[in-house]
Amino acid sequence: MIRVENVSKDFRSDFLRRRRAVVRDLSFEIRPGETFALLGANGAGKTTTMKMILDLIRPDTGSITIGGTDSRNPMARSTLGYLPEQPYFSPHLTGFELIRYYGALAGVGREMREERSRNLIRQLGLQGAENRRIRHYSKGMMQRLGFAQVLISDPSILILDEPMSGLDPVGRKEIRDVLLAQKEKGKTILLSSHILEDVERICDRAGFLVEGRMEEVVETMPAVAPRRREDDAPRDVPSLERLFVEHVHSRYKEKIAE
Amino acid sequence: MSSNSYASRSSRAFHVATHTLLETIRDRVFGVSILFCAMLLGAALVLSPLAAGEQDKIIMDLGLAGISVIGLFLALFIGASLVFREVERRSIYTILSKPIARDEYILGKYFGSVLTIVLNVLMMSVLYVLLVSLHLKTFHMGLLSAIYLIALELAVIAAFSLFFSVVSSPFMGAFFTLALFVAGHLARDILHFAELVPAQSGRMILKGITYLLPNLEYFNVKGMAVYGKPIPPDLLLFATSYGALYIVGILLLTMLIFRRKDLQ
Ligand SMILES: Nc1ncnc2c1ncn2[C@@H]1O[C@H](COP(=O)(O)OP(=O)(O)O)[C@@H](O)[C@H]1O
Ligand SMILES: [Mg+2]
Repeated sequence: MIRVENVSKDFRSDFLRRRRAVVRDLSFEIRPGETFALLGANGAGKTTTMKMILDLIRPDTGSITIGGTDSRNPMARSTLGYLPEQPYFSPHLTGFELIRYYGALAGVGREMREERSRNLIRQLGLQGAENRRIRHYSKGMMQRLGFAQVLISDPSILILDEPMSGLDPVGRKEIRDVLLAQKEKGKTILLSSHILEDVERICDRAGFLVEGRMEEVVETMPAVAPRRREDDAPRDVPSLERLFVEHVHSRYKEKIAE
Repeated sequence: MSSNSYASRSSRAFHVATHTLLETIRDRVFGVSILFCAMLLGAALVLSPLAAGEQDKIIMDLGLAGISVIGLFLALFIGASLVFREVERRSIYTILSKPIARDEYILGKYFGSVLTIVLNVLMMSVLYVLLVSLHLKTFHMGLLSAIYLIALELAVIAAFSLFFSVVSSPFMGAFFTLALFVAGHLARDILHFAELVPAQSGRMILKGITYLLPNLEYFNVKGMAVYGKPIPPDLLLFATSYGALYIVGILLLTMLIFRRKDLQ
């Protein structure tokens, strides 16, 4: 569904205009209908990778396709929804106006827009606030609004950057339920997260990004590790946490030791 | 594919434009600019105790200049904040994650800002025409031509403002646009000045820059209008084509640059 091939990206820091490799020769694939987690420390390149898939950032080398369409073609995003880290929206519009606006941008017809907006406002617990200007919204409400603009086009691909960060346990559970419902409907989901417990519960596969490289792709989530036969003992699947510590922290220790 | 049709593509730019209009008229700046204009014209009313002759003309002239300057500041403000603020506040990420091309986004932003400016000029003009026709009783059609050219000039300024907003920061963008406004009105003087520059190379550079700048005096018929002279139609036609050419050129350049921009 999403294919990232040999993608590299350098950023030039303003200071001395030095180039810094942020993503290095990255290749991976997200299969139709699966939920894939990008894991990694802060600064590993998760957000940059997502933005390159969305054509917000252009890779220096390599190619990306979405459903076979080159990501540089806007139509590659015709059935895609994106939730950025800490989403932010025009403060002068109301929540309802914003959801309909994004629906229009996504090419959803007028009546459908109207109906879906109302449903999403209800589903995401924004009733009562939908006609208020967004500048009065709290952080949690922004996140819900962010989900509403993702779901307005009923996209088949969801790209979610840290969808559960900054939420309280109740908010987290609500979002997790939304995600599970989407997964149930067969949507393809790419998400980044720090909360391994949630990743284990929701995701089918996970990739570890370390300094812009894909260190390892975990094919089977520990919580749902299959047994070969009824009487088999559970396979020894390393927990995500152990892998995370191995890949991420060991690098830090090396760095500190240097 | 229906979602790829010309109609739905241009409708995306249309939605960006109408929502930009909605956002900017809800911004404090829009109301403040109208208030400012009302105050200016109110002051003209109070300060002209049954003015006659020359004084009428001064008030008419000042009124047009007021519309132009208030419009300029609105154009500066909107242009400077339009794209840059959306990038800085990250709201652009979700917009461009929809199946909209960057060119369509720029077009939408531009037409949204022009709609805002036109609406603003229209509201100020209603106040102005009321003052001129009811109080001074000197209204004539030439004033409307003058107002049309002011709006056209502001549309050109808005294109430059959007361009600067894409290539620099809001503050620098507003500064460059203001500089362009001033230089554009002094284009002829700058050319005269260039003749006086002793160094051949300096002279060429100065002249080159001046020829790239729009000559904004083409949009200035305030003097003629205030004195009740008819504005020749071919002057309006020329100014319209001249302005349109600049707008198209600057928008194309803006799109070209914005296409390549990394939105980090
Ligand atoms: N605008 C930018 N300019 C230069 N470097 C950046 C910019 N944005 C991010 N980076 C750097 O790129 C690296 C990857 O960032 P990011 O993709 O946001 O990582 P993650 O999402 O995994 O935390 C970080 O080291 C960050 O400092
Ligand atoms: Mg990130």
